[in-house]
Amino acid sequence: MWSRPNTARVLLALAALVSVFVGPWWATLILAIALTLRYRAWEVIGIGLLMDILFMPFPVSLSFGALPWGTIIAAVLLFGLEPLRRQLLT
Amino acid sequence: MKNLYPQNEPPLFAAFIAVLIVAGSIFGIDRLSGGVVRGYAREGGGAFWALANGATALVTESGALSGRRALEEENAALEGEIARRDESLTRFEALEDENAALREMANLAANDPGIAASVLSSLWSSPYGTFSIGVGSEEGVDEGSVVLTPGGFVLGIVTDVAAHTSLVEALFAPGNEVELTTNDIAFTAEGQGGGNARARVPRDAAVEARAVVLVPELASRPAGVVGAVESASSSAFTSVYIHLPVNVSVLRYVYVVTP
Repeated sequence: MWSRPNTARVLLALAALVSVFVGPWWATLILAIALTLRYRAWEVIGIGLLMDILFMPFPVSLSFGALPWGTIIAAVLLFGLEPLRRQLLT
Repeated sequence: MKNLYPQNEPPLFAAFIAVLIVAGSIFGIDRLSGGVVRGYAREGGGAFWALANGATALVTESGALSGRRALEEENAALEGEIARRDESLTRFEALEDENAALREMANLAANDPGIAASVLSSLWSSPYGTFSIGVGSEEGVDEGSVVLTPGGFVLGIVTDVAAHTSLVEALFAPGNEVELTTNDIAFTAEGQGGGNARARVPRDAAVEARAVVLVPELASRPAGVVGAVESASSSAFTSVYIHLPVNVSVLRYVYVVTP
């Protein structure tokens, strides 16, 4: 059911993961965009989730100021770029 | 052209629901448990950050990232006995810098009871204007503890505490509104991230560059210095740009005032 991961995807995902800890947040964003442009990269959700869990100064709630933006942006990239991926890759 | 689009992926809507359930469960458990999930994650992250900081210090001090020409010159200079002396001197200077930072904090400790803490994650890693430090509830840190730079300027407030790590929200985190005063003029500044803030004060207010700004609600501790004051002739307001007098991205130690 799952496609076999290739080297570029694994390297990009690892770079994004390391970037969460030691890189600037925008580097993680760029790597996540690169990943989701080319692959349906589920790992981006995990990376966004990790960023929120590590750095969010508040518990998540439904108010605008307490939303997990890392996870939301990761989901938007993953699902929002699907039509573009479909156009580019077929 | 080769079709690169994945053929055997799960349906998108089902995947979206699955993601929603998993993320919702994690954040829900964290909320119900009072931040336990985030606490464990930061404890784990703290070990990784300590490892990464150690590796970075090793690489930086060894000069491995210098330019080729600098490395060649250094290689020539580092031959034989001179090499060992230079290496010792570099190590001594690094220790001297560290000692100076800790000595400054010892001066702070004379006025405010607290604890020196190493900075684990850089401020630039977080999109929320937060960073982790290597002390937690076991060391007497509590939510609301004030975090100071080695020079005594307010850097942020502890918002979340685990056993041996804490999360600090920078006073000048992006979008954070802070009440400040300078020369008895009170105003509200908006954080811009990276230790910078911006405020608008009435045009006739006597705010001068290089004046120290204070935070009244934190015992009037200093929070930054006015870097620039800009005023357009057509505006009734003056823009005031405030910054911390230290580069927050290279801070290695901070001082946490314990309650």
